[in-house]
Amino acid sequence: MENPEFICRLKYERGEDVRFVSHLDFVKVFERALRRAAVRVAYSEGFNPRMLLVFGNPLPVGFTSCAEFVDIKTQTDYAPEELCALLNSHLPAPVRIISGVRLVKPYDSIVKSVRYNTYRIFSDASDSDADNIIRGYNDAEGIETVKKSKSGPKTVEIKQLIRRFGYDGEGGFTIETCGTQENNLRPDVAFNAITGRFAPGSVGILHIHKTDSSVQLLL
Amino acid sequence: MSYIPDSILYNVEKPARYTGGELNSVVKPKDTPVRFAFCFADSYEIGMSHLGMKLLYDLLNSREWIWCERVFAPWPDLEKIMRSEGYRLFALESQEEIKNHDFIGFTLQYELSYTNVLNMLDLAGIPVYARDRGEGVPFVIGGGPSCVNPEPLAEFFDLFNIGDGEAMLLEIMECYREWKSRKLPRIEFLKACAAIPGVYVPAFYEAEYDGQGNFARLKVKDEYKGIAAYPVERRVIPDFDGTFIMKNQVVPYCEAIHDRIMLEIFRGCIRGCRFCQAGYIYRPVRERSPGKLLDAAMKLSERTGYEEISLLSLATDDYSCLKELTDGLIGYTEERHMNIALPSLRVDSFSLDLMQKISKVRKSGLTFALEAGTQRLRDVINKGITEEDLYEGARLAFENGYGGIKLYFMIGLPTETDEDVMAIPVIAQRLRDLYYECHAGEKVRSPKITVSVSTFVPKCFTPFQWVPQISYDEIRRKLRMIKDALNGRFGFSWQDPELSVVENILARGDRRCGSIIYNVWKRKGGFDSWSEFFDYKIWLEEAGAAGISGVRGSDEPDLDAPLPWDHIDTGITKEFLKREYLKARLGVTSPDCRTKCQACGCAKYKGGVCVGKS
Repeated sequence: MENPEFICRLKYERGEDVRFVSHLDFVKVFERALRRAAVRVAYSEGFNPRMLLVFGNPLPVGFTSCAEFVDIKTQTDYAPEELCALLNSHLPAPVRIISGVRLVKPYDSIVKSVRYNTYRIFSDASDSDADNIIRGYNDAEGIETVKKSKSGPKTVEIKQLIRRFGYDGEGGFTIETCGTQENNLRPDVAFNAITGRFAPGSVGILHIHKTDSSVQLLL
Repeated sequence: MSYIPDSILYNVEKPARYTGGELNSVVKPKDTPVRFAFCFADSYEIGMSHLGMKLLYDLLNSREWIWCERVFAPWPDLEKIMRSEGYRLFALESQEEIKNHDFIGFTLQYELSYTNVLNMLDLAGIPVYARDRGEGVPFVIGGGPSCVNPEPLAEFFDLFNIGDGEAMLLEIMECYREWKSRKLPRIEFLKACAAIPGVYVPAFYEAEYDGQGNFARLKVKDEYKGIAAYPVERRVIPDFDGTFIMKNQVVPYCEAIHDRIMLEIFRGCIRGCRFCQAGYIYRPVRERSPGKLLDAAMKLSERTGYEEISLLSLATDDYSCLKELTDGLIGYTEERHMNIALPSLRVDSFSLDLMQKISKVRKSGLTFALEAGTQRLRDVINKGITEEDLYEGARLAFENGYGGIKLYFMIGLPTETDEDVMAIPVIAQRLRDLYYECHAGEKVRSPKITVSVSTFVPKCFTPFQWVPQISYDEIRRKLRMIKDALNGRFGFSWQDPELSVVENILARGDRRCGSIIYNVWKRKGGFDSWSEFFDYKIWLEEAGAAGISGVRGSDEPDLDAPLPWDHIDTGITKEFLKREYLKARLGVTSPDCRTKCQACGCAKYKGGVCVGKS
């Protein structure tokens, strides 16, 4: 009989102090926290056994987020709350676990589960810039951006990949973009394409914070 | 909040190096009485791999009245922006500029980092020359192995720590607290420090040169007679096992070169390889007991979560309790899926068995430091390893599934002939033959045999402190000989000859070297240990301008001539070094410290192997 599998999906926050940590280095942050917490993590087979952790798509370097996800496979059953508490007492302060659920097969991987991501973009736009940008955006039939591809630069239409775009005041915008494997749209790419058209040369991004991600099995 | 704004950090390589906040980094109140900026004169990844800095960081921060922070050299992309936009060098923990700290400490590891020392001081807004520092400016303090000849940097430092830093540094901090509370002038602190054993205050001494411009002597200035010691005796902690042991390490977010738990199993070396400065200046060998090491390993593991423990020393297999220690560690590490790394381990059946047990990593390769191609030359340098040892070890390794061997050699060793050099490729070929012999009749991949060659740089406090380095053209010719003989069939790597030539100029330099370092830095900035920022031409020009040809030492040296480091007493006596030098010329070897004491002089420290302990 196959061994039972114990997998928890955790939602976590990445704060300012780890905004420049690359995805690969960030994996180590988790592995080391799990070792410090003495969590009985499951390992892969082979010459160089690794902890069985599966992360979502890498958060772009420089971003902060309160909607990141990881699946952790353990050798024994952990209540999600217990795993959250163990990790929170051993992760460095800028990383916090928000919630967790047990996964039962069959389930979609994190990457496959994501539909849309919501971001808060902090910019140096003035209210009048923002008015122009929002009005222009709402009236536009489409928004184009140039993507680098193997066969040279390619113009792509992205408005259909944006579910929501609005101004929150004080230079802050909220944007909800498609996060699927096939049509992932980076918020900075979208924002620069929009502002480049409706307020060219006058708006710069200060910081981007991911606020939400629509992932199954986690509310 | 980071000191460097995001708008800049987005545009530089690896910005995580500059934002701090790593696990176990220490943050204290900004008004902590003593603020110590511990600098490493190289990039974050190099500096964060260094044991001494971690150890002293943990030690200094164990006192609540001291806040020790880390400072690394910003990579040139960031430095350029910092200079053009008016940012100054800052400490990672507080993200504050360091120009108002109490101390700027540098650990000096290699000569080619000296330009970075000057660069970092300048970037911090601190006068580069010690004589230009007035009241209220931090004290600049140096330690580490390069300090056994502090003279090239003498004009840039307020004080040096010669020897083991642990006890000395805390005494300096106590002394500082007292001085600060009494609101005395700057000079009074330096005078008080000069009374602490192991402390060298270069401003209290002056150099004299003879009519030909040769170094004649360093003497205590008249006004500091009775205050400054002559010689300055290296500080040694005799009871090493009883002294402070590191129990916490900062865990970097972005990977350092060596990113793992570091256990210093002993200090010093019994071997006495005549080319190796570290083998002399850390004597006597003093071990930690396995119990203390195991305890520290577990504490470090609980606090860091690292996946690997490295046992650090100058020669792992000389640790007398290696089996006991590794037996104790294995149970702990296996359960946690951790590796144990055993650098500089001799290959024999014991070590292979051990490596099999402890390492979860693939069998990639083994390293043999043979250093010289012939037995004659290995006897000259007292490298106690024979070709038979190598082939026996290699055979065992090949039979146990290892597919690669890396060989370390030096060229330019004293008495070296072309025959010695040409023996190097022959050994590589014999190892390849041995590999196929071990796998006769099997279908195997070809072995990965790599030859790595560096150029010998004679160092002070070794028996070769009097000899010259071979010329630049000779280095190139010998490297070419090896390269041609290897004929592309083996891996081959070598140290740039230009770097070795400059290292040689600095390693045995006197105070006049200071102007070379200063002028080179002024012309091209720092990072000379990185070949992309190293400029050989500028170094040669400045050395020439200072009247230094680059040739130091002689094949027929006057062993009684004054040396620029004569005022430093490392415990190793000149008489001993002379004896070893003459034995080397005759090709006579010396036994190690455990087999028979060679009366090097370090027995006066009454520590470790000298008093019958290991």
